[in-house]
Amino acid sequence: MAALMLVPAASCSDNWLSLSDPNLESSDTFWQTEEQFQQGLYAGYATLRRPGVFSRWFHILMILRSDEGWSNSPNAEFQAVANFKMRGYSYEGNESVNLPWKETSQMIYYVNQVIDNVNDHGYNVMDAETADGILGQAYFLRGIAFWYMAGTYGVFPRQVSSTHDGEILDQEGLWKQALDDFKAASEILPDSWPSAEAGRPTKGGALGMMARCNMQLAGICKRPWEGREAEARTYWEAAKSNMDAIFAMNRYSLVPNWLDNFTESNENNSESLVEINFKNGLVDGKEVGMQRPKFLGLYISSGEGAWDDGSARAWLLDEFDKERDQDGNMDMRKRYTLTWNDPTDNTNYYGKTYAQWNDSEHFLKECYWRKYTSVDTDNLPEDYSSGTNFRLLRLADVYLMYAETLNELGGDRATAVEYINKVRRRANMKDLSVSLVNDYESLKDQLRHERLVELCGECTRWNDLDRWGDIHTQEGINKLAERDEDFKTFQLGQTYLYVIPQHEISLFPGLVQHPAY
Amino acid sequence: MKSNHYPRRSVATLLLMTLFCLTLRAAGNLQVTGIVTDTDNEPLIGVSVLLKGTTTGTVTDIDGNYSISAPADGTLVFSYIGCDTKEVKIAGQSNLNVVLTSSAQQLDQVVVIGYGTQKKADLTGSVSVVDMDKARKLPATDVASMLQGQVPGVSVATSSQPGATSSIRVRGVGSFSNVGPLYVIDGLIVNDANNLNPNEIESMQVLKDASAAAIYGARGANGVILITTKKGKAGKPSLDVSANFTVAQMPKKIKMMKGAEFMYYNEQAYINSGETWPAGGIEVGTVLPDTDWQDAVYQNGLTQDYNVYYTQGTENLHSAVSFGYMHQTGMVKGPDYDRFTVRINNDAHYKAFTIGENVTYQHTHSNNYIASPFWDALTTPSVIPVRDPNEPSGKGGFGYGSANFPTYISNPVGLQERYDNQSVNDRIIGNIYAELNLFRYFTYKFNVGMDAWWGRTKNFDKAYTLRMASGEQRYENKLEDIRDSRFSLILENTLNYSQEIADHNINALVGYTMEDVNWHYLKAEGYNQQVDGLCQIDLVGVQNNMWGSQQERRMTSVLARLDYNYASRYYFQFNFRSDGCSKFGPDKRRGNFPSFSIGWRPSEENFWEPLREVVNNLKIRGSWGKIGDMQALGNYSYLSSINHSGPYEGFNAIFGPSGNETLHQGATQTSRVNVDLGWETKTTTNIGIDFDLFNSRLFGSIDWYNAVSSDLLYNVKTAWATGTDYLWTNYGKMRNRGFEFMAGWRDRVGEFSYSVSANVSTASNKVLALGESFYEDGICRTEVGRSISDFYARRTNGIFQSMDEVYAHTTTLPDGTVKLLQPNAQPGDVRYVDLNGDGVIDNDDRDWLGSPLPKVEAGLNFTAEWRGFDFNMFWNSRFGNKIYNNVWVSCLQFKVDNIPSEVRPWTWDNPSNEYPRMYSGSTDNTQTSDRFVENGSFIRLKNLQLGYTLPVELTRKFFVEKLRIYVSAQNLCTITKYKGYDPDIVGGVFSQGIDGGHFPNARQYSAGIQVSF
Repeated sequence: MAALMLVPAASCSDNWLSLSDPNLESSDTFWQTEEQFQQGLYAGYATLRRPGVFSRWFHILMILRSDEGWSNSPNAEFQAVANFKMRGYSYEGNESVNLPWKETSQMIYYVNQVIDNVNDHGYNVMDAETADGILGQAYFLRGIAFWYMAGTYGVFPRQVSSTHDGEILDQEGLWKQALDDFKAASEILPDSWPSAEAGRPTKGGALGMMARCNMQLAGICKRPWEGREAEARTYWEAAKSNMDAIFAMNRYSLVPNWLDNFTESNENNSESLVEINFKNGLVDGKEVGMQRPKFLGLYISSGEGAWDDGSARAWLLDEFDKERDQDGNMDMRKRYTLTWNDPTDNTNYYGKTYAQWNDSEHFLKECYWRKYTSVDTDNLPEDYSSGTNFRLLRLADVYLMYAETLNELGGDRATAVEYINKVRRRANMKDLSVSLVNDYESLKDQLRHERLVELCGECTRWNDLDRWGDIHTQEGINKLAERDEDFKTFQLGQTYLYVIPQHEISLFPGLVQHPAY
Repeated sequence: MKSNHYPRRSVATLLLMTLFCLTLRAAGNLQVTGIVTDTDNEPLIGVSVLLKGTTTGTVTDIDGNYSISAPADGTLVFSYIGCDTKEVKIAGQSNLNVVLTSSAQQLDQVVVIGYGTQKKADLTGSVSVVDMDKARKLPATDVASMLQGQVPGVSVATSSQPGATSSIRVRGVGSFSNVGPLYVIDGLIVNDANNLNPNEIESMQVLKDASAAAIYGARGANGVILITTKKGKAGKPSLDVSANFTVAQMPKKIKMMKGAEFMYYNEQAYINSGETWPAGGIEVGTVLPDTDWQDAVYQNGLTQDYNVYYTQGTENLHSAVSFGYMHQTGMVKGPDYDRFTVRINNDAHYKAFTIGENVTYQHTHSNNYIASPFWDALTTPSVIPVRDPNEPSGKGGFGYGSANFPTYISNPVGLQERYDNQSVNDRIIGNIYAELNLFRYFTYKFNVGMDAWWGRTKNFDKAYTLRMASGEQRYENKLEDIRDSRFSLILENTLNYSQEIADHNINALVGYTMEDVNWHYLKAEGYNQQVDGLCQIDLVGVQNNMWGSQQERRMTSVLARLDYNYASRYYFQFNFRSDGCSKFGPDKRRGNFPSFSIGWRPSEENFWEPLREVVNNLKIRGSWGKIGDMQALGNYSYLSSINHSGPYEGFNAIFGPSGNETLHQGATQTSRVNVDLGWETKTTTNIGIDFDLFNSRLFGSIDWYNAVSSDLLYNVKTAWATGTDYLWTNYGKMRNRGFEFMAGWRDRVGEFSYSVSANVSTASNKVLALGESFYEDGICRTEVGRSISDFYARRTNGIFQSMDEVYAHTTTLPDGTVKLLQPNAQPGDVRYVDLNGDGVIDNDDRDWLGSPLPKVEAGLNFTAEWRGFDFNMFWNSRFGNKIYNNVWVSCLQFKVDNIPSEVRPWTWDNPSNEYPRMYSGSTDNTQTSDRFVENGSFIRLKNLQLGYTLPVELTRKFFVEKLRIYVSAQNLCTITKYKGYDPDIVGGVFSQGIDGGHFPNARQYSAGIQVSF
């Protein structure tokens, strides 16, 4: 105050007008210590748990758009996701269109700050191993971001700098960018982290995601209008070598209890290659858990259950019933994937059995989602904060991917069947005989079934249908429409890409809406 | 003596007057004596007393006495500067006491301008002087509502919410942020005029154009309101006491459906959408509730307002003390407001030295309301009881719908009872100044002022259960405890120079000012009180979160003004202010804002002489100038910083094994900054004419202005793909243009005096640049080239009356394809227009549906006095604006909410071309469309007042100098087509004119008493 009284003239007072913000740390002094680099990474990790990413909308987009899911939610947005009627102009405010794009963009912006600053001076302030680990995680997170954008909107700018915008990439470009990022990550990430750090990405996870990207790229080359078969083969070969590298690490194995892949009890286990960590409840009044189970599960009007904004298609029940297990019983995976009117089902759903609830609720649908719900964890009412981690990539998936890759490469079907049988044995299914699937088509058909019963509801189906070409021919779409009538309103060659937020069309130079929207 | 009130004409005039009295008639004459006083019974010195038709005259002495020799049948003419001239017939009386009334619209009236005063006749900028005599007739409880309709170019939107502050716009929307005018109280720049007691105000001026406001540079861009509070007066002590009582009621009741009528349409809704009627299971003979929700929610609001003003002084020391207390309850259950105010103004003079202070303390306590009872009272079905003993789940016993009548309304009675929001505000505004006259022509002034405010708010929310379940709640009740404070310090040094050299009048000012403002904020939130009936933050079951922040802003300014006139005929004024503000980066910190104005009074020219009898005064003036603004911008917007708290979900990474995960707090930069941010600039051109005719009985002014706001600070949306949402820029540009017209007539016929004054202003707004092609906020869309916040929605074309009409509603595309536009429609559904002819009804068919900004605003004031009676009538109006009636959207969606009685939804038996059929499911009938856009024009009888002042001779016996009683009524009638409660609405800059159930203006009845001792 004394200064205020004494300063007599304007000329000397401009210094007096320079204030710093007492509420926020200045960017000028950040990115100097390992702790600060870690904090930058954590901000990137935090975006994985946001609604537009793996807490909610990733699941809705991947499951409802595929033939696994549908919606009659009173929230018309869910229906429009499922039946491809989402349109750009009328959904300016829609979360399903905006949040995945927006929050993934933020993830990219945050990790780009880490990458730019590590590359600029990170190796001067940290030892090389630490800097590598940080950089590898940042590349991995960015890979996840581009991978997600590729499988949804299929268009996104190549944001690889925290200060400048990149050129606009199409779907193929995005898969390639994701592949590059996972590759960079795989080269510097450690094989594993200490138990307290479980959930940070590893070399094995990066390799697995590379395999996924290579397979999707192969799928693009095989699209009817592409016909780049030779190029596809190089991608299949790359995928195979990615997975061979995983197996060579000799770290991973299937967990004996299949349920350990969707509950809170045995997280970051030996089967898990990429996992998104969630924690039950609130921290500082903010949810840190996963919202998925509140949206995909049995609806109970008094509030104990989920909203059932996305339901499971009835044909899934039949698909599980195609085969009984070694003991002649129902495939146990059906029980823990879906909920349906089954007199033998004595499961405790939030305090009552299905039959008991049915007396008052009069369930109208043939089946509901059960995988990832609290029914198999704590059976408490569903909320917006489930503690169950989301397994983005697990070994059973890699085994089936490997079998598919071998089949595509036209080679070793016996080995392919062996990898399929590893997955089947855990579920107490009889071994598959090579003789039954000894040609490309029959093995591929078998893989369709195996992937469905093993991975149903795990958000892999949409990319599978894309890679297999089912959604790229009218014939394929017609078949899909037989079991999921949402495909009656699918537009061939159009709606396989999701609608871009109108906000971005208006504001990002050069970005053009997909013609279908 | 009141010489300070009515400034003296030059000494020469007085001498001239004295000369007249030397020539006296001798014979047949009467010696007439008496005292001339003003209406406050103060003797007037130097009043000219002239025998009509002669040059014989005299002037009153220091006690107001005069003595003149005149014929018994003669007439005396009393004239005095600042007062109406009065003629009195002698009629043989030897003693004539005369009371002169002041004329407010006098040319010599002194007007407060920034850092000084000026004679009204000498103004060359656009300055509106509020006629306080008229403004005070309205029992306003806040400063802004006092201004409504009083001066052209100042639009005020009021409500009757207890303790609410009205919103003021000077010459339209001048910024992209909701920034109002700058308030200056007794020369001190303050943050706002909230909670200021209007009874403390002596005078008010509004500076509207750049030349008038430029001396305030930054922050003057949206107008300046100068307030002068009542000062101490020399003379014997006086004590004014006043009391006012007001009853407020809802301005109208909207008749809603009840009983069987509601049930009939409710059933239709479910039949039409093919659903089972939930209420169908109710047994025949069951008596259903039949609640009149408006009766349940609304009440009579009461206001009591008491004020005391005491002044005493000697020639060199003046003191004034005032005290006010007001208590107000709303006309709806829930809100109330208490206000205590104290003011102490003192000034002392010793030789060339003056010292003084003005200090006010305000204490307010308000209970606020939640949600909109003005919405819920209409939409809640009558079949839902206010209190429902059978309400399941023990959620408080309020009715809010049931399985029979599923709704998502909240019980408006329960909401107010279960929600407790109390805020207490304390504020001290004060300044101390010292003045020193130097070398005759110079005055140095040092002024230091502070504006300190402390607010505390407690929100206790137990209202979560008063609605049918739609989501889980993490708490049973929630307490928020908030502490907020702001401290501003201003320091000003000014040096004034004033000299008259022959006919050259020169006035110059230079100054240097500094300002420092600090904010502190702390909020704690917790769930689940452990003790029933108490709410304290340390009694919560769950400490949820805390927030805190502090901010600071600094400014330094240099200001200068040169004022010159030649013989009060030619005027020139130049203003300059240079502002530096901490909100901007070093390179853009300083803004320089010049302005000038010129004026010419042809009425002072010699050639005007023949016209002077008719046109006493005519002035033509023009001004141009630039003013800056920075209020829109955050205090640290140009600084790039690291965010440690993140979005809602936080910045936590989670690592670790099952059940033993650890959270790691992250941090990153979440937005980019624009280091080149600079000042907003408003460039205004103003041309005006002031005139006084027929001995100042007719007076008025006309102004035309054109104001271009450029480099508007605007948080422009960025593509999300950049990882950010917004970036502050100087993109925006907007123009406001309009005419302002003010005229009045006043006259006296015998003992009856009256005045009529009217003001009209027009305004047109155009957005010239936005940084993006358009900005949408709900139904409002702001687009370059159009007025800000225009309504933009689909057009409708009646109701389908048959399936044939549905099939006939097609568009033929250029390739010949005939597209059925609404294939899912049924008879009774709304028909939408395919505006772009693409064969699909969608958002691309939206059309411009009008502007929420009024084209014309007008006020009309009529006052009359006869003997002790006084009468005031004040009309206020707005024309040419549209309102989007969002409450009606809910009432007319024909699902499960209640429906106005006058509305008949479409049925086969009783078809309508205006209202669609009932439908409980999802339907296109509820689309945003022109169906809900209404004409918002209104003419309102804002005030009607009748007062009576008891004769002084009578009241003096009780030592009372003046005793006035009055009754008045506000908002007695409103002429409008608008269907909601009240068309007096504004809103945010980009979403104006939307009625979301706002607090309406009450119809009020007041009575009051004013006593002076």
